Parts: sequence; C-alpha cells; structure tokens
Amino acid sequence: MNFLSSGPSPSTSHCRPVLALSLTAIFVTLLGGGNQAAQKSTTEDKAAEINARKVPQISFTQQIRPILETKCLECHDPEERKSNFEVTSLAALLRGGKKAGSAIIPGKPDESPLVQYIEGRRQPQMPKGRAPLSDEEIALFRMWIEAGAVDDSPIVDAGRDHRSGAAEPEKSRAGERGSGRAGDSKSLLNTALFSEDNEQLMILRRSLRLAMLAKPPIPPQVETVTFNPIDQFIAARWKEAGLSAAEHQPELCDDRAFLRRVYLDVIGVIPTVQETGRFLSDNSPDKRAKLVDELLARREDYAAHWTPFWEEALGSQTTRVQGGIPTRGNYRDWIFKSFANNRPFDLMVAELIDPSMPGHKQAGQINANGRIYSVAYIRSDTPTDTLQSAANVAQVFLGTGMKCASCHNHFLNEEWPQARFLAFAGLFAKSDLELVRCEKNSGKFIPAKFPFELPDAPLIARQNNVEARLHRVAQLLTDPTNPRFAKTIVNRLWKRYFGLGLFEPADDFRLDRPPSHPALLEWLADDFMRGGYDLKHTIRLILTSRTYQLRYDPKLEDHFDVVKPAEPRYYRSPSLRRLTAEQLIDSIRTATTQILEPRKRTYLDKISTALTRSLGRPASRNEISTGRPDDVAVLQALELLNGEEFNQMVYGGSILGQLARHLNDGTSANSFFYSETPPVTEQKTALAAASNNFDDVRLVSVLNALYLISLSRPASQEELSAGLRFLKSSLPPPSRRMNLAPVEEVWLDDNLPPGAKTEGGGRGDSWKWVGRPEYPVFSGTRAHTQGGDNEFSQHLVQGATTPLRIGWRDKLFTYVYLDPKNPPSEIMMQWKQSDWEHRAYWSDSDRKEGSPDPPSRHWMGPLPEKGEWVRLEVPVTEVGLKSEEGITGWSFDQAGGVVFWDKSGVVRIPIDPMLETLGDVLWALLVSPEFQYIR
Amino acid sequence: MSKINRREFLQAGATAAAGLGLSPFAHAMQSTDSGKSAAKLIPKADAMILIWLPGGIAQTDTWDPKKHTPYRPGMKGSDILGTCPSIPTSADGIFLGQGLENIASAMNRATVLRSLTNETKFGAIHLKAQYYMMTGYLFPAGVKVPSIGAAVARTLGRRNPNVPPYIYIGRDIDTSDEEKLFISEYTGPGFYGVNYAPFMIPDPAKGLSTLNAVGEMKLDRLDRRQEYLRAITGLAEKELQTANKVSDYMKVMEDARAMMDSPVKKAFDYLKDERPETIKAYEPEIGQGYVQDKSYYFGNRFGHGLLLARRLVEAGARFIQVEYQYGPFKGFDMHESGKSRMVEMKKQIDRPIAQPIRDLAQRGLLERTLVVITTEFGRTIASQPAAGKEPEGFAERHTGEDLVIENEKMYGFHGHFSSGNCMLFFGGGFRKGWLYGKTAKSHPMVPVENPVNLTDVHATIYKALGIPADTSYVTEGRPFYVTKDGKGKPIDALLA
Repeated sequence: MNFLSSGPSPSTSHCRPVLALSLTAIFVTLLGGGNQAAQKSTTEDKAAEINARKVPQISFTQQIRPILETKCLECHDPEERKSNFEVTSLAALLRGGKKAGSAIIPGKPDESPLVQYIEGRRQPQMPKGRAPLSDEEIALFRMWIEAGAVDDSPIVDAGRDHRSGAAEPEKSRAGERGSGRAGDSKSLLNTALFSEDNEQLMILRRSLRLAMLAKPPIPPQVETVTFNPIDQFIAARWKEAGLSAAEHQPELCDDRAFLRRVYLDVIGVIPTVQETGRFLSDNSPDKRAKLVDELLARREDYAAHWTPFWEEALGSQTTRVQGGIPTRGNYRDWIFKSFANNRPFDLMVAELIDPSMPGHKQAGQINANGRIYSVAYIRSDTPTDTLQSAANVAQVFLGTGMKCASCHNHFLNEEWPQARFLAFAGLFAKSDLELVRCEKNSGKFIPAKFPFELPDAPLIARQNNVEARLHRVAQLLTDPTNPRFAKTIVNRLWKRYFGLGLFEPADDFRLDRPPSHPALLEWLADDFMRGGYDLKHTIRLILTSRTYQLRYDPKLEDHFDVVKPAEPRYYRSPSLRRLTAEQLIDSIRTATTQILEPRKRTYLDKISTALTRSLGRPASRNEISTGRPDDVAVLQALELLNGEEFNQMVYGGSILGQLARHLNDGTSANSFFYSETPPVTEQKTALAAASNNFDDVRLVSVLNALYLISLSRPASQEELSAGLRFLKSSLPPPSRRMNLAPVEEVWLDDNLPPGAKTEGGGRGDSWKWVGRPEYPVFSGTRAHTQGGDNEFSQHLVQGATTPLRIGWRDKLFTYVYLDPKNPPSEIMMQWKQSDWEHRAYWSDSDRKEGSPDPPSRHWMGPLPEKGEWVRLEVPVTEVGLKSEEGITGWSFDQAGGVVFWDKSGVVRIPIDPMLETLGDVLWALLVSPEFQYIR
Repeated sequence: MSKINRREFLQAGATAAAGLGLSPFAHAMQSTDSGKSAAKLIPKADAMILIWLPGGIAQTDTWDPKKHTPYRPGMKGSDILGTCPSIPTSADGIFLGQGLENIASAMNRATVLRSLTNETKFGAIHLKAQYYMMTGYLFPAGVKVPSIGAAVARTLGRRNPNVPPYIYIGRDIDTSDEEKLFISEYTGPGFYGVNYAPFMIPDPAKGLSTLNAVGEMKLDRLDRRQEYLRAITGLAEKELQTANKVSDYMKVMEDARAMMDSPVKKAFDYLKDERPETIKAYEPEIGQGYVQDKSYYFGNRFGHGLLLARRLVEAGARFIQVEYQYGPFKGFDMHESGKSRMVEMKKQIDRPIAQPIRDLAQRGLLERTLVVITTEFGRTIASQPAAGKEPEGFAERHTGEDLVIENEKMYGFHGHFSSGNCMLFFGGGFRKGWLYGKTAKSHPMVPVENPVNLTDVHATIYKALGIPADTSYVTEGRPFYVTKDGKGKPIDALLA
C-alpha cells in the first residue's frame, strides 16, 4: 500500500497535516523505525538469499539432530519438556527453556548454554544422570553453532533432495520422531520385541515397513525461486501447462497478509497488536519461518484450532445418547491432547480403532432404556452400526466415500462394488458380514479383507473376535505401504491451508479422478511417513513453501466444480476462505480484549447459538463431516447486522472503553501499539504541539488503533479520511462527551424481590437469614447463608414477578463474606433466564488443561479474601445472559465451608454515545470482508 | 428518509462505493437451485404450512375415532377402543374424535390418510421417529439429512425475494445439550447448508429478533454504519474487491438489510393489523389454570403461530412449519391420564388449526397452499401405561388382553404405535372431503386397507409442490434424494 511511503507533505486541506504527521508517528511505531516499503520490495530477494545459503559443514539433520534425539529427547521431548525445554527443532533450541533462555547462540559456542551444559561448565551436566557426550559429539555441536547453527532440514534448505545419501539415519529416525521415544533402531528393535506394548511394536513395524517403500518422486528441477520441494512440483506444473507464471512467478503476499493468514491457519485467531508489531518490525530474513515455528510451538492454541475439525470428523459428542441411539462418545479431550502433544498421526488413528493400543479411547458403557450399549468410535452392535463405522473410517482416513456401497454397488465409483466394501467392513465386526442387497438377505457371507494390496501383509482376519479384527485393521490402515492413508491426511492438510485439496472432494478419492499434482501428493505422503507421521512436520513444510506465501489474486484463484472435476488447479494464488465460526468469534474476542484466553475459546463452548449455527458450526455432531461449507446467507448477515450475540461481542469488549478514555482525556492508548516503542502519549504531545486540533490527533490515533486491533495493520490515508468523516459526523463535540456514571440497582438485600421465593438446592439445603451480632452483615439488618450442611450446597431465590432487567454492558454484583476459619473451596452464583445455564464461580484450584469454560460455567478467578466483605462483579455477557429477557432467579452456591452473602443486584452502565460511535467503526471493520476472509 | 428513498440510496451507495452489484436482491433471486431430476411436474401448490404436533397423537381419539368405550374400573386394556365419542364432520362419511368440532367443520376441504405405517418400529424413541417423519431417512443416515422444509426451500426457492423460503415457528431452541439440539438438526438444512436453514421464530409475539435493529440502535444509525462498511470495503485492496466471494458477501449484507423493510417484517404486526375477533379465533379454548400440567402451557403461541403462518403465506413465504412444542412426557406424549390430557390438548389445537384453513379458503389461497398436519407415530394400548417399560416393537402387536385398567389414570392410549398413524392434508392439490385407508376395529389397530409408507407420502407432498421424488443434490460426491434413495412413489389416490 502506497500510503506507507508517504511522509508529511504540504496540503491545503485542514486535516491533512495532522493526518500525515500522525501517520508517520504510527508508522514509526509500527515498524520500530524500519522502512516497510523498502522491506517489502526486498522480501523476495531475502527469500532467495535464504534459499541460496550454503549448506554448512556440519549438518543439523544428519549430525546434530541424531545426537539430540538419542541423548536429550528422552527428557526434552514435547511431552516431558523438562525445564520447559525441548530439542525437537532448531526453533525449539533457540527458544530455549526456563533456566537459561535460548540454548544456543549462533556463532558463539562458548556462550551457548547447551554447550556449557554438555561440557559440564553449567550444572547439572547434561545428559543428566547419564554418561557425558563424547568429545567428538561436543565438537560437532561447537562447530555447528560456530557456523551459524543452520537448520538444513528440507523445509529451510530447499534445492536439495534431503534424503540422498542419508537413507539410513533418516529411516531410523522416522520411526522415532514424534513418538516421544528415543533410541537407535537396534535398541528400539530389542525393546519392542520384548514389549507387550502395541504402540512400541507399531513404531518398530513402521520403521521396518518404511524401508520397503519405493523411492519417492524426485522434485523436478526448475529455474524459478523455490523455498522447498513443494514449490518445485508446483512451478514445474506451471511450465508444463505453459502458464506465464512459469516465467513471471506470482508475487509473494506482503507481511501483513502472511501474518494474518498464518495466525488464522495455525492457531485459529488473528494476532494481537503486540504480536503484529513484533512481526512487522522484525527485519530478519527468515522471520516468516520463525513465525511458523513460533505458532506451531503454541501447542494449546494449535490444538484448540484443530479440535473442532476432528470433533466433526469423528462425530464426537458430549452426550452419550442422541435420538435414543448411543453416540460414539466424547473425544474432545483426547483430540486436544493428541494435537497438543503432536502425536504421530498413525498412532493416533490406531489408538482410536484398536482396543489393544495402550492409549485406546473407550468412553465406556451406558444404560439406556435398560439396555447396555458400548460407546466407542467403532460400533458393531448391529450390521448397520458396523457398516457406518467402516464407512466413516473409509471416508475420514482413506478419503473414500463408501456409504453408497453399503446396500448396492457404488453408483458412480466402479472401484467399490458392494462386496469389496463388505469385505472391508467385516474387519470392524466380530465376524464376516452377510451380503444384503437392497434389503434382501443373500445367505452369502463375505470374508473380511482389506481392500488394498499391501506387500507381505496379512490382509484378512479370520478370528471371530472384534478386538482381534480391529487390531488387524488398524495395522493395515496405518501401514506405510498403504498409500491412501498418508495421502488422505496430507491432502487434508493441503486443503486446510490452500482452500482446495490436491484431490477433490477430499472425502472421495477416485481412480477416475486423479489429483491435480500426483507426484507432489506422493512426495508429500512419503515425506510425511518417513518423517514419523508428524503432522507438524508437514504443516511446517507447507507453510514455509513459497506456494503458501503467494499473494491472493482472484484472477489466479483455483476453483473446484463437481461437474468438471478434471479442471486443473495450479495454486498460483490461495483460495479466499471465510473464517469459521470459531475463528471469527475467537478473533473478535482477541481484537476487542487483546487477550487470547485458552479456556474461553469457542470450541469449548457447549452452547450452540443462532450465531454459531448460522456460521456453520453444527448444533450437534450426529453425522460426521470433514469440512464446513463456507456459504454466505441472509441468516448470517442478519446475525451480524442485528444479532445480539455478535453485536455484544463487538460493542462489549474492554477495548472501546480504553479508546474512549483516550479520546476524552488523552490517556495513553499505548497498549495498542508496540511495547518497544516510546509511549504514544509522548508522540501525541509532540503532535499536538504541531497541530491546532488536538481532537483530530486523538481521532486519528484511535482510528489507527481500531484498524490495528481488527485488521492487524494501520489505516491508509484514504481510510483515515473516511473514518474521520464518519467519526466527526457521528461523535458529539468534545465538550459534550462525558463519562456517565454507572447506576446501581439493588435486587435483593434484606427483602426479596416481589413474588420471589427462597429455596434450597434440593438436598436438604435451605435459605437462611442471619443477623448481627452472631453473624456478619454488610448492608441493612441481615445477610443470608445456606441452611443445610451438605458438602456442595446452594440456596436460591426464584419466581420474581418483575424480572431483573439487564443490558449488554451491565454487571451483576453481590457482597460475600468467607469464614476465615472454615472457608469453602469454591463459591458460585447461578442466574435464571429461561434456564439456569449461567454460572460464575471462584476457586483457587487449577482447572484441567482444556477443560471447558463456557458461559454455563465461567471461572472468574481465585476465591476472594477471607474474613471481610468483598464485592464480586460479573459482566452479564460472561455468563451468557441476554438483555432481551430479565433475570428471574439467583442462586448462591458453595463447596464446603461457611459463606455469607448480602446485597445483590445490577450495575447499569449507561449508554455512552462516544463508545457507541467507536463501536460502529469497529463493527464495520469486523464485518468487512478483509476481516471475514483469509486472503 | 422514506423507505423508497432509502433503498435507492442503498443501491446507489453499493454501486458507487464498492462496485458491488446492482440490486440488493440479486442474491436472493439466484438462490433457487432446483436440483437434479429427469422428471418435470406441474405444481398444484406454491406454498406449504406444515403443522407439526410431535409427541405421538392417539389417532383413535382424533383423526381415526373408534367405538367409544367409556372407562370402567377393572376393564381390560383390549376393551379400550376409543376414549371419546365420534362426531360427524362437514365431509360425508368422515368422523373425528369429539373435541375437534372446529376442524370437523373444515373437513370438507381435507384428505384424511389413516393408513400410514412404518416398517421400522421406533419403540420408546420419539426423536428417531420424529427424525424419520421430518426427513424421510432413518437416523443415523450417514449424511446430514435436510428436512422437508429445507428441500422445498432449496428446490423451489423464494416466492418473494424478500421473504425467507423456510420459516419455523413455535419452538424454543434448547441448547443445553446435544441431545436436545438434535431436534434442531432434523428440522434443519442438513448438508444443504445455512442458505436453506429455517428462520426460527420461537415466539410469534416477539417476531424474528434479527429483523429489528439490535439494542437501542436507531435505523438511521444502522444505515450509516452499513454505509461506512460499504465505504471502507470500497477502499480495500483491489484483489478483495474484485473477488466474487466478496461481492456475494456484500450482497447478502444488503439483502439482509432489505429484509428488515420487507413484507415479512410487516407480517409480524398481526396484533396491530388483525381484528380482535380474528385474533381470538386463533386462540385456544383452554387457559393455563385449567390444564393438569401448568408448566407445559404455551398460551397463544401455537395459535398465533398459525395466524402468523397465514400472514406469511400472504406475504410470499414458501414453506412454514408451525410446531406445538415437543416435550418428553408432555403434550401429546401421553402415558398416564391419556383421556383427560387428550381432552385438554384438543382444546389447545382445535380452533387454532381450523382458523387458517377457513381464512386461506376465504381468501382463495387454499387452492395453491398445502396445509399438512402430522405427528411422528400413533398410539395403542401398551402392557403398562408408564413410559419406557415396553420392549422395542412390543406395543405394536400387543392387544391389551393382560392389562387391567385399575384406575382412571390408566385409561387412555399410552403405547407408541409405529404401525399406524394418520395425516391430514388441506388444499394444495389434495382431494377434498376424502378418506384414504382403513385400520382394524380392535387392537392392534393396524392398517387393513391401502397401507402406505412414509416415503410415498413424502413423494405425494412433493408432487403437489411440483418436486419430483427423485430430485437430488450432490453430497460427498454422490446424489442424495429428497425421498429415500429417490424411490418415493406419489399416491395419486390422495391427489385431486
């Protein structure tokens, strides 16, 4: 954007100098003094520079990483992470641990903590409790660090076939990487041979079977700039098709587009202003690769972004019965943990299917209507259950739609006669399945058999035992010689990051519908398997490719049309992708609060709303799906326009208040800029001196802040002008802007609201009024407490004739007193609208990783101070209360201890026209296509 | 600013500021997508109101009355044939259960189907039977199956570009768990996606909340906000502006705004527009104080929903579903006190259902509007009145021989009966004053004449609307049909 290079310039218009001055300031702030225009023009050169960088004498992949994996990985793997330190990648080494910071300082072996630890100059000497490294090994580290500590893995080091001449170490490593288990192949073999652990056997089998694979296709030589082999395949295809892109490569996207794209793709949210600043002001040539690593290392955020996809793909449900039919159970935590720990994908899938895997997920037994059902991903209670389980596995993990073939030969896919599918499905049953054609039993049983030929593998299962059959099918499914498995998942990754798969539809791999880049697909699948079925490895490869980093261009965008499946796709531009419900909501929360709270991420929320449903998030996952349509519909638009939930998020975030204060009194809006820059107020003061219109300066900085929080960039000159016009025509003049004081309305003190009745929670609890002098009272003559002595007790009021009216911005308050001698372990309040699904609680105990924090159970913080009256406040939006209906019930709950409660009610925050106007600007930015789409 | 001016202004704004298409309605016009079928049908109906009464209505007390067998202590279950007398209707030879006098007076316009039967016996499972009735596929189907409303909306599109094609009235969406949300799924668009999702109107009195500006926002502020959105979109990168997806998106935003001024919005003002006696005619004849379960009373919601449905048909809606909200063991889901609860339920539905038939007929709209009444299954005599004690499918052949009716609470039809169910059709190309199918006089009261299956009934409804039964849409690379496997055969005997 050209506005960035425009400096102060003489102008006739009144606000022009202000604009220009202020822009420069923002600009300086943004770039930390750098020059973005210059930077942008050299991105390409720098990329080429990385590419051309010489391979150092010591190879990270071939010499350093094997040592790290055999000597260090046991404790410093992604699961153990002793001292918060892992050795899985160069980025991890650079990030370092909590003790010494960055483990290596490139070029400075003596100062590198890693060298100090292995040499024993720092204690404890590493590897702790084991024999020290040999002098030769230490020397390798020193030389590698001396030479700049370069990662020569194929992602960074593009031009070279990384496997040539390194087949052996690669192969043995493939078996281990990501598995969290160290050891060379020989010790691995011995451990596994004597192990009862199917996971170990599987890892061993994987490494032996990988050795049987034919060599993958060699990335074609091309003359254009490539970052890694992916680009070679893609560029070769351009040349083959005679596209001009072969000579004139499509441009890379600018840093801002990349920043948003990669944030949304890896962790599912936009960056905060701080993060934006850090990246945009970073001038290092490999900043994009660094960012990819940084984001991939945010394991919980990464897992949070993957979880909804897999919940839908597996049909994971939080209820155990649905429509009177048992579900497959709840896999949310399992999915989250598997991705947070980057479990090798083959182990994950085996774990899902094979009951003999140590991590097998079994949701248990339930009793519905007197019947016992098993709840498991694979269900085989009836032949229909079996067929559906098998069809689901085929669809999700083999990219093959087989449902049609359940009852007859596949209509459209000759590859799948019914008998072939039934043979496959038989592997998921306790015995062979009968051929039932169009609802007529044939008396003919089809022997179970895996549908693909795998060399030297037993493809059949004769035991009449479902566990044995599932064990077998899990082996065959994930076997390296079964090409469909790896191709299906790498294609899903490709589709996730480019918008369109190498084969489409991604669930319907057909012989008669070849992928757009067969050799690339094969190469990616091969690389994925040899890399230890490591999803992050392949994701990193894709995200650091030049192809992923191309600029969005609708003229070059590919499309897929089921009617014309053979239309080629060239990937000269990514596809424009609409944000998912989770990406949108989490990003808006990030924008309006500048905090990404892992426990508040939308995927955890069990509440389905009109907004989430309209945005395509399924209300229940009763049927599996591996992707959502990114339709636009009036129903959605009405939610964005008038939906209370959406507008609450936009207008209710803390950010608007801060900006309004800045506008009012010039309070620092520093937090919207970058920490390493001088406080904005100083700049503003300087600017103000140069301007006659203090208000304009503030308006401009507020507008820029709004652009930064929402679109992760400052506003252009034209955008500032448009924004100023809008603000000036809508805002009250400065003299009439005021902060209206909040108004408190008491609902419950010494008396109940009219019509309301008190109740206990139903287990002998009751409502008990207490008074001075025996008991503490905050207001009036009495307080209340619970009357029973249950461990978990509640007392409540409900049935008020006039509901307590609330507005979006309002807060509910109460006063509470915890007995210091006998405090509770948790306190909670619940509110009733149409239901009681609105709870806020205070507790000291740490909650479990990934445990939900929906409005129906919202953690407010640790327990308040004991032995004194404390005021508690809960914003109504935090607990999902709607302003359309009032509150008719209020419950006071505690876990153990003695607790007194007093005056309760609502704090009404008056509508502030200034806040509303800023909110209108923010609304427009958050609804704008630039925010709603990934480009 | 007047409406006309404002619209012109919007259009000009859209064109000038963002270069995004001419008409805010263009998207709506395009959203018809008639699916694939070799056949062509001439539609008899342009709109449909589906009156959905889930819970499992005892057909013997309503649409298919049997001999009245009054309660006596110690009578055998098999002795209960009907808990109320039959009443004649305006159609010769068609009788209904007592308490449905208003509907009876409209029966000269109705086709009554009494022989709907299912191969699948749903046992205790209401939701599965409801799913089947609403989609024509057994759950789980392996695919997210669209409901009838979604299939009609997709295939026929909008009648009026500013009126949503699928509107659903009268149910709160209970989001407290996935089990409850499951209900929303089978009235939803399935794999068709959000463009064919119903516009949910839980309470007709409150209307569709998103057609009103949010919070305290004034319309002029709403419009200025949207104008600003257009302005900044017009300043975005060229690549974004020229993308079709972006222009579609911006069009839909305009479309949504236009809907706020459309006839659909006006339809919600029924309390203001309609005469008091008309409103009264849509209200039930029983107040909350007179029902046994006071927690399950929706007041005028159902009746006003039907009034709203009539007004929406007049405004140009395509498909409207009006539900008497389902609740397990509530409403028509009767296990104990079946007789007395049925009396109450009839009072709740009789007037509200009859009135739109009269109104539509009087306005000459019934000819081209199909009104269908249905529930998920019928009822029979079970071995126990209490719920959930029945082995699957057992009630279907149980005759009540060994059940002794000890008290009045046990008097009524309490077993789920998948083998026998009724449906009513008014207008829209169905025959008038016509009876089809016959069931046994004693238990089990299975169809003994012209039994029909649901797939064919759906095909008949679709035929009336001009939709071939083998109309299909592609999902997961294969066609998926509006009737099961595209095999529904319309029952021409039901059609005029």
